[in-house]
Amino acid sequence: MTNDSIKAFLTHYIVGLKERTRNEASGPKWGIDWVIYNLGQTLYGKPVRLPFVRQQQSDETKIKSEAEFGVDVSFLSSDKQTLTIFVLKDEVLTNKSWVSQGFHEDMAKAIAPDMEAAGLEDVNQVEVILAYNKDEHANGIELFDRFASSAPNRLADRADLSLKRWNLSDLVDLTLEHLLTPALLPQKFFGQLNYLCSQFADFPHGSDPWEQQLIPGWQRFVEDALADEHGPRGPALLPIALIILREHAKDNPTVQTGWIDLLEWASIAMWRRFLTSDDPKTRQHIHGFWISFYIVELDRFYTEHIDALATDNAIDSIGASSMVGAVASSMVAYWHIGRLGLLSLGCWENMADESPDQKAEKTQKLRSIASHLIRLHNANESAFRPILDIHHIETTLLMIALSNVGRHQDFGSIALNLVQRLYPRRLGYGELPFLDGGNSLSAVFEQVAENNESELITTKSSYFVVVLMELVCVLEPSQRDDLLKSIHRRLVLGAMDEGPSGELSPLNLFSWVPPNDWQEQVLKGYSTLGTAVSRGPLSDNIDATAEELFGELKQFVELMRKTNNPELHLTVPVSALILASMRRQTPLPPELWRISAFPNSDEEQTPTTVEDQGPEPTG
Amino acid sequence: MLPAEFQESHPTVARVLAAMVAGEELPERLVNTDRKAVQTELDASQQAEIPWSPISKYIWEEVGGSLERFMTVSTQAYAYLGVGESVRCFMAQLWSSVSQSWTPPERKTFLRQIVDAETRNRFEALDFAFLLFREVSLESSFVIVWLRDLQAIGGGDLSHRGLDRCLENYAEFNQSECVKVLRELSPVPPSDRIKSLLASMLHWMRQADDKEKPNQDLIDLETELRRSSRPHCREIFLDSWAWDATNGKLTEQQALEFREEFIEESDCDTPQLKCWSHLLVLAMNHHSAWGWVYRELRSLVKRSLGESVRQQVAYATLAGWEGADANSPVGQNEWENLFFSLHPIAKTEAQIWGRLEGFMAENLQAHPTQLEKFIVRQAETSGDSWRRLFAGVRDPFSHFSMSLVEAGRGNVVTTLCLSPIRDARRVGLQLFNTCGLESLDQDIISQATAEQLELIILELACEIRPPALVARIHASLAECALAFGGVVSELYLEEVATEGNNTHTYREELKLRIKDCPKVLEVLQKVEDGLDNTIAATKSPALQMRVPGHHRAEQLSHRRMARQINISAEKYSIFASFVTTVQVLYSHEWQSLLPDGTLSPPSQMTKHSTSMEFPRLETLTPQTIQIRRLAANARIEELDQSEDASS
Repeated sequence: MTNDSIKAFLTHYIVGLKERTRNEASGPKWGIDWVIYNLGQTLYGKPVRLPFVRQQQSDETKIKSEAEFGVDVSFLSSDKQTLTIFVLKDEVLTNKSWVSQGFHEDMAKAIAPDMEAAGLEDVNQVEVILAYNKDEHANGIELFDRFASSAPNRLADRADLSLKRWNLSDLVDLTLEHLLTPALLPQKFFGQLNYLCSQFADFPHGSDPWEQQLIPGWQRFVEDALADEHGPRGPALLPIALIILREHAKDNPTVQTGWIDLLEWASIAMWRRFLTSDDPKTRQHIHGFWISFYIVELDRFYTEHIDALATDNAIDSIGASSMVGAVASSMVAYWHIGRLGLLSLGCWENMADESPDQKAEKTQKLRSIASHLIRLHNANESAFRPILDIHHIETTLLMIALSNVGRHQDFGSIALNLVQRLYPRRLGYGELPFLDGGNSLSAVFEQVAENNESELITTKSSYFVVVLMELVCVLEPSQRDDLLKSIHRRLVLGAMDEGPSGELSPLNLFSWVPPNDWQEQVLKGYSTLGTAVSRGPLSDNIDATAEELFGELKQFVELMRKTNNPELHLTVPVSALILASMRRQTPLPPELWRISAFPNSDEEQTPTTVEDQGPEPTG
Repeated sequence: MLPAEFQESHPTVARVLAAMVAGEELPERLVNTDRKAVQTELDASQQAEIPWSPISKYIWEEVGGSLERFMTVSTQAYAYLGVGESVRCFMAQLWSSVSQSWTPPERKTFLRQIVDAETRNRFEALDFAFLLFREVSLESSFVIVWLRDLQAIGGGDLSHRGLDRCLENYAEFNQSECVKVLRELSPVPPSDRIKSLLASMLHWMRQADDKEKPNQDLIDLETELRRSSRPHCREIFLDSWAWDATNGKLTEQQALEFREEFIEESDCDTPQLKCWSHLLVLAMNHHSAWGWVYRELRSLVKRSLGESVRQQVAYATLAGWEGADANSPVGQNEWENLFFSLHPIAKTEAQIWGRLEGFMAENLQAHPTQLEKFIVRQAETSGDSWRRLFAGVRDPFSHFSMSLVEAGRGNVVTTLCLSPIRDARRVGLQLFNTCGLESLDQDIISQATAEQLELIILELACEIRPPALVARIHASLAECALAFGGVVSELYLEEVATEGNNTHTYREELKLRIKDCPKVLEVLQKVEDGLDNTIAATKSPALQMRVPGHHRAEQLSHRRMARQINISAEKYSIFASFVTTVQVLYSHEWQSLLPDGTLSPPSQMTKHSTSMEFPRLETLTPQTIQIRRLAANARIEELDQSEDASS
């Protein structure tokens, strides 16, 4: 993450804070007093005056009702010689607000502290800082400067007085420099985030404690932050929490992918909040987070690491000591394929393309991601080794990413390689089982590790294979036909390339109809939703022609459209919904690709005419 | 004390004998020297000249007149005097002499002790007991019980030369009682080994029978057995004649009569057919019988024979091959053709393979040219079973492989590797490994065609083989493969790259052997650069994530592998085959309770380990490797078919 983008999110967070942290009827309000309290402790020493009462049992502070005399917060240095006084404002500093919002009044009171108060006997330096988290106008600054020059130089004949002003930029810079810690967040979240930070620093991404402790803890944290009562400040707080987490775990070797993992769970929760929020600000924040945080971070991540991922056998080398490692490396490969696919789709959805320059930039970005995908496939066999049926999502994203830049043929080549490598697994050769329909990675691991004769993975049905067949229908008939025949004969019927069909039972193909409220459901994470539509093989004939198979498939699609075609009314970007599907292991609605493969007669196929000159898949 | 004259004529024997009786331990250094001296002294002398009476008296006194002690001392004889026929005869004579002073019940008690002795001692005692069976009159009832107990305690195993000699003497010198033994034992279907013993006893009685005054009991017994309605009785009769055939006492006419009488046209694997084939094998001992034996064997192999009969035929034909010369009624070629008419020999026919290995190993020196052709033919006709025998066996065909190397006939391996028959090529590659050859024969390789080279390169790609072996073969092929250019050259360099990617051993071995082949060295350098890049890339933060469950599965997998290694270590360990394995718990030091009730001194555990480099692509890119093998197999099939078509 760049410094500028961190600053941007930090500014966004700080600008949204009130002057004081307090509970209001509409919910708790977070104030800059908490930020200043923590900054002051770091920079100036012990607090002398606080605007709130720190409580032991509660995660909220209690506001003080006593008179302030202009002083919001003050600190005494460790040698007891310097007193630092803060005057806090959550207003824009203007000519008008200088008086109307009490800038002048509070400053006037603040420069006359009670120097005889207990503990201040040794003070010989008094610094009064006006800190405000909103913008400023030149007249406002002018008024402050005049006030400063007219203020006395000494107090009680023993202390020099100086005045300072911290505007929003100063606050952001100082926070960035001194307070990128859980203490930056409201006290309510401090403990939670602090604990998460230590877990993130210790647990490797994907390890058991990561999955069993950190992720549930993070999900709870995100839910708490996004609670209705926090309004748009919740979505603004999450990026800050993520930035702090990342800062704390920088020595964890898995920090980069782990951070994306946390980011994704936060994104899913945000989009869920999006659906329930009527507040345009909140919804805007969520959109901004998705584009400027998640998509941008994915882009930065792959720009930085694609060379490593596209080095020969780099992913394949994960756990290379046994066949168990082959499963693990495939999971990692599909993790990256999925993210690259999301990145491509995210860019396709969100990048502007009104002007020729914008269009060129967008095309360039999409081409570059497609190249990343091809390079990754060329370098790693594990990219051709889907393990679970749910990996149809990554395969679909791959097709979309390549099709969006006109690289249909390359998708055809990859699909061909995929079929070639799935074929021996379908026949039961080797130690790797066929795609697990139950999507149980632990079952796959157990079977490969034990290499038992009694198989744990006994896939009889497949959505992945149907998806693959439908995806190859985006190809030109010259490429599509052989692939369709090959998929059907080899994977569906499990027949040898030559001779009779053999002893394997055909796969039961099935498709899936999402519920009308798919986007709500998938974001909530219900794993059993929608309706499975079962059908046998497209044909019992191992020598069925491509025309016959395509005809059957088309008929099946049309029948599904006619009898059960839900109206999805998507308000959340498809890329975000696909991310939720990936994380929740729920299938993708077939219409997401059927729109290209089997366009309705009244709809036009998505134009995908961008020519590309990237690398070709070698497989 | 041992008689002075004996001590003078047999000084070492006397000294060792005295030590043996006294239970003294001879220093190990002396034992070997003494054994040779014992052998020399016993071989040089006529044992009849030995003064047995005073010797036996001395020994009997030394063991305190105890039968048990005498048995215990006697069964140390091999340890003290060494193993050999002269020692066997000496001890048998000693037993005979000592037993003169025993009462008949004492003799029986002593013979009973043989049955009750520990396995190793029992076999040794049986070796020394044969004279007792000649000199002691043993009732059939005793011998029957003795035999049954011997069989029961030995787990049914009665195959022992010492026992055969005992029973041979019994049959010869106690014929009437021996007839009773047969009458008693034959009606009940006996085990194969007892059946074989009974057949032998019948044969020995027949041999010993006085032709002038034939034993009527024996004649009656033979008639009963021959005409019995019980098949096993007829088998005993027929098998007894097989032993007569060994001596040439069986004429062709008799043999044919037996065949007519006992063998049905439809017999393939009946016990009678087994006896008949056994008879034919034993009749081979006499060249005069070869004509009809060969004819009968030829007609036999036309049937779909059972394993045991095939085994007999194989033995006969190989014996024929070995024994044939210019004057033989049946020549080497005929025997060879007859042998190969049994092919293919199944992997499970272990006896035939065992005999075949011995046959090939032993005849390499004497008949190198014929044997080379034989080996190639063997590989081309039964190569599939042969190559499978290499898997799952410790040091498979090591005797044969060693003989091939010693005879300087490693070139036959190259011939096999270039064979047009796939199984033969695979056998060639296995033999290259077991023979530990450094390279293929360059003279033969330089004559090879492009297709032959392509085939051998593809064969290497089809299975996991020791990387050093692949490197040695690749090194031998380099010059010719690159000289051919085109497909062969490309394939060769591709395979070098793949194997180079697979193991460090391969790269190092190949680099050692190919120093002036820039193309190969360039490929190896590229491979190493690629590996460096991969290693660097794997450190990327993008690849550090864990996969849930991976660690646990890895542990499971390692445990499974450890189990498999344990199992195979026990299966193939020489030690584990005859030493009891004890799992030592909680310590790295161990002691054990000795038979004398004391504890052995503490011993430290020592660690022995062996390691091999696992080809990394097998788990890195398992499917690519699988597809590569499928493609190699398909190409081999294609080339083999085009070869078939052209020939």
